Amino acid sequence: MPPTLDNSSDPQPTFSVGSTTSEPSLTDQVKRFKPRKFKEKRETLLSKDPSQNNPSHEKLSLKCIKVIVSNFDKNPSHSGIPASHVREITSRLPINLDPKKSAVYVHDESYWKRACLQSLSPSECQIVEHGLTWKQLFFENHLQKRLEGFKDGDDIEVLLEEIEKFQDYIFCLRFRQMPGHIDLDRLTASLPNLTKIDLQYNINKIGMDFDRRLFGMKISDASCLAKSVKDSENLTSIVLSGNLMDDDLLRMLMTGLYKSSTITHLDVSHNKITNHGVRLLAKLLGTKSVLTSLNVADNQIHAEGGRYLGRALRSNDSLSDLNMRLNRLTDEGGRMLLEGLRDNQSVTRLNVSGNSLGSESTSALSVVLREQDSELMILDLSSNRLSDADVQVLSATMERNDRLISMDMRMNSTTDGNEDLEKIQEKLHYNELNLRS
Amino acid sequence: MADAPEEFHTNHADKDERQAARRARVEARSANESSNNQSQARSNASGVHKSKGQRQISGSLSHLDKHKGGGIASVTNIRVEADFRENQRRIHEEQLRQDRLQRLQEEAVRSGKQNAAVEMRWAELLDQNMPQELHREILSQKKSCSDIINSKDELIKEFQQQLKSKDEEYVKALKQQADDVEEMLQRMRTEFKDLQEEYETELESIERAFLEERDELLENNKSEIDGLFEKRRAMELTYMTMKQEREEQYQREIDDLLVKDAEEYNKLKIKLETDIQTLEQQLEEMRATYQLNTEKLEYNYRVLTERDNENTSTLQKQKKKLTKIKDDLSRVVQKYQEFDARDKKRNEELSEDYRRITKQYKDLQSKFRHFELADNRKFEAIWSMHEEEVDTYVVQALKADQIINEQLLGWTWRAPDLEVVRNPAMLGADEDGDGKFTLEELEEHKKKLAEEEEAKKVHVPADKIRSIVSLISEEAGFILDASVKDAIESLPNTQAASVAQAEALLKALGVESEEDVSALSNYFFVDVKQEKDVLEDLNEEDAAPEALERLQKLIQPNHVITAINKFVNDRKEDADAKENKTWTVDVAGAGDALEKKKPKEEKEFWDRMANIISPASHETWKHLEKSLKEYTNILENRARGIEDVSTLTSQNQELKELLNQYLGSRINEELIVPPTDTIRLGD
Repeated sequence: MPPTLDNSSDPQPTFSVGSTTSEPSLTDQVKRFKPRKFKEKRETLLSKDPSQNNPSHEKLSLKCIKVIVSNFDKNPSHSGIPASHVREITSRLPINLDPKKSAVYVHDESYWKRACLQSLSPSECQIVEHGLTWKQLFFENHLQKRLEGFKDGDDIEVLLEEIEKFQDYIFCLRFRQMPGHIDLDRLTASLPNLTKIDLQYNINKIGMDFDRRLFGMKISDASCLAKSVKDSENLTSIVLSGNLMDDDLLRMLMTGLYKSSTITHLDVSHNKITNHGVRLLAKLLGTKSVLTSLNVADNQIHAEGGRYLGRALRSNDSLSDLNMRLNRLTDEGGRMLLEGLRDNQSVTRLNVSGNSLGSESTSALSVVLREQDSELMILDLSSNRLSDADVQVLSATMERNDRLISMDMRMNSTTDGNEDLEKIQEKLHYNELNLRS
Repeated sequence: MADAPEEFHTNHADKDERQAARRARVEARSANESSNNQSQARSNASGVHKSKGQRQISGSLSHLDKHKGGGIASVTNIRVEADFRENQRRIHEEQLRQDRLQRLQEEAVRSGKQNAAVEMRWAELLDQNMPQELHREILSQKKSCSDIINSKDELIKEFQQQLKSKDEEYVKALKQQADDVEEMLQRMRTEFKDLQEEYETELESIERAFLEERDELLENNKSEIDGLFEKRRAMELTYMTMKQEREEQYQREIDDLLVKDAEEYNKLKIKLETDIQTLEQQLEEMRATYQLNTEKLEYNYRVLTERDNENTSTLQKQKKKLTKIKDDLSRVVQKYQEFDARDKKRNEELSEDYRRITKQYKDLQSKFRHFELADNRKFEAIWSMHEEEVDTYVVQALKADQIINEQLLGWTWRAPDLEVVRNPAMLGADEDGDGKFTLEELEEHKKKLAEEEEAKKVHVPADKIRSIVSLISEEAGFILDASVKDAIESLPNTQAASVAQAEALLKALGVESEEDVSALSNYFFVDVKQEKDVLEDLNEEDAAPEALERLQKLIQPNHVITAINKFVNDRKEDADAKENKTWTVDVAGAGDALEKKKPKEEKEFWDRMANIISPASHETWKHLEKSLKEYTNILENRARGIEDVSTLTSQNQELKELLNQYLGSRINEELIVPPTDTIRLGD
């Protein structure tokens, strides 16, 4: 802590010159700062409330509110109650109401904030990821928990009936385990606002009951998902990270993806996709493609896959973010991918770390970076096999490039204290400053 | 930019050096950016004088950027390292896999060969006959088989070994991951702390820079203000000296002016004093003459006051008298007004009554005339109706008489003259003149009268009346009331005035209708009738005014009053005569005689009509009636006898038929003695 802040505890801190002017210096502002006290307004109200001592002094409206609150579960209604009292009622409602009823009758965000903060862990309360509304946060978490607890024998109709009550508040379908392998098609059909699907077919905390077959996506799941993707009109983002997905599953999924014109974000990282799978994915990147972000990190893609992608990127003008981290592209595959990038004017972010790239890829990359039209801004080349000579080539290239602002070259086979590396970093910094101004 | 890389090194030991390096860096950047920012432009111009705070902020920001970049790099390093390791591992793994596959393949080939050899040996075994040899061969075969199995087992063992090592590796990897996570957290924590400290120190330094800048500014401003004050003081001093000089100059000018003015004043004073002396002498003279005049006037004034007193006393007396007379006058006037008002009112009431009664009287007369006419008409209608009725009756009676005479009595009947019976006057007019008058004649008479009246009216032309009226107004204007005269004179239009005057005159003379006017004209022109007739043919061709003039000449103005007198008197006599006449005398006048004779004539007419059948024939009718009644009785008796005879014959006939019937019946034949045989008819 700085010494200035320590003084803030003093009753009369000594201010510097100019403290009385209308715009005091920052240190004075810091000294004057007092943390706001967040008192529970309702608590103070209740403590002063005479009704606690004598129930007969209680206001009739307060009594009514109490009765409504206690019977809200049985008879939920807001009609005919003034707005001020509605607020009072929602502030008094217990958070363990039946979600089916509260979804329809409770609209006050403060109630949902209360419910989320008390029932969910802090890591789950990321309101930014849920459209900045607590109600959406609550119900998306609620649905996730219901789905993760869905067993094989459970009745899907009961679940669908429940979902119908709060279907308007679900924008993101997400689960981290799925023991029941639910029919996704029916599920998504009942969610009109769905824009994002984030699925992981795993079993958490399985302990000694481990079975290899319990993990990963199944053919039926893939076909259901493909169908729901095909039918949906709002879906823009699909995340299928870590699902042990192989080429066959991907092919099944592709039957849906080909026919969708809304998916802009596709994440199939941490799967078992090989060159064949990449060939399928490359078809998604045709001229009519709307895909802007593709993540195939940590798969088993070899040089051949790099060629497919490079060929697809030549004619593509939508993809801006490509992640190929931790694959087996090798130097040849990297070259073919980067050669494809030469004619491309949309990719701004490229991650090819951990792909054993070498001098061939470097020369291809330098060609790309020399292009005036190149939009590439962020590049990750870490954990490859770039030598000092390669770095020198890149450094020479970078002198004429004004777009690139970040290039990660760590963990390559370069010697420490390479001057070319520093030159590159300096140029990148300069580019970044230019971009900001 | 060329020497920038050296400056960008942040590894200097000394803090001041680092700051300097930072500053240089910022300068280089601002120069490169060539921004048009005002502060930077100023900094370029003055070199040293630029905003310290701005510089500090930009320097701090870039420094922090660097620091942050370093921190992020150090944190992500772990990930990158792990990636690298993983990548290496995978490559190694792949190699191992390839190795394994190769070995498996080799093993398969080798075991295949051995298997083939063993198979071949099995075939050879069948050829063996010797048991010992066979045993040996089998043993060797067994051995070779176990060799194959052993080699396979070895491979399996090796693989299992590898698996175990893999497990260990996995555990190690887990441990590595945990360590990495720990390391990352550690680094993040330290990085966070470092960054916070860095931020604080940068904040501090920015603050200090701002304070320094502020102090400098204060210093500058103070010196500037001091300079300004100094300048002001100097200017005040110069102003003071200038003011003093000006004052002295003005003082001198004032003194000069004072001296000059004093001399002028003395001269003027002497001159004015001589003037005053001469004027005083004149004043004395004038005073003496004024004294004399005053005494004279004094005397005159006293005399006049005496006279004035006398006048006032007489004036008062006269005033008293005047007031008394005025009182009397007002009383008399009031009385007069009262009487006047009462009389006027009465006069109005009476005239109103008079007018009303006159009107009623006229209405009554007109009503009387109307009803009379109506009665006459009704009477004529009834008369004619009855006459017709009587005619029919007479004709009927005469016819009956004719029938009785000619048919019953066989006498010759002579018809009386019907026309004579109806109207005996037709026979001879000289017999009874008045009696001959019929209704038609009456009408004719009336028509004639009306024509006469009309002729009378026509004889009074308008210009004549006008001349008469003007004559009367000229010669006998006194007949009019004074008030009426006033009213007429007050009328603005002369035409209207003359008309009104004429009306008033005629009214005063009692002339109300057209007849009265003609009568009046007769009085005026009666004297000059002959002369007028003589002059008429002469005047016919002349214009109307000339005729009028002549007419006026013909009526002597002297006779106007006598004419009027005569007219009024005559009128009075007429009125008396009219009053004496009884109402029995018909107003129509002309039909008097006719009306008197009418009842008598009617009576005769009815008598004639009643006696159209003479009393002798009446007597004859009575006798005839008597004999005829007797004849009727005889005839009735005869009729009754004829009826009896006819009934008896019919009875006889019936009896005859009955008898025939009885005789004709069969029973007669059955009888022993038929009556037919006994009875012999007379036939």
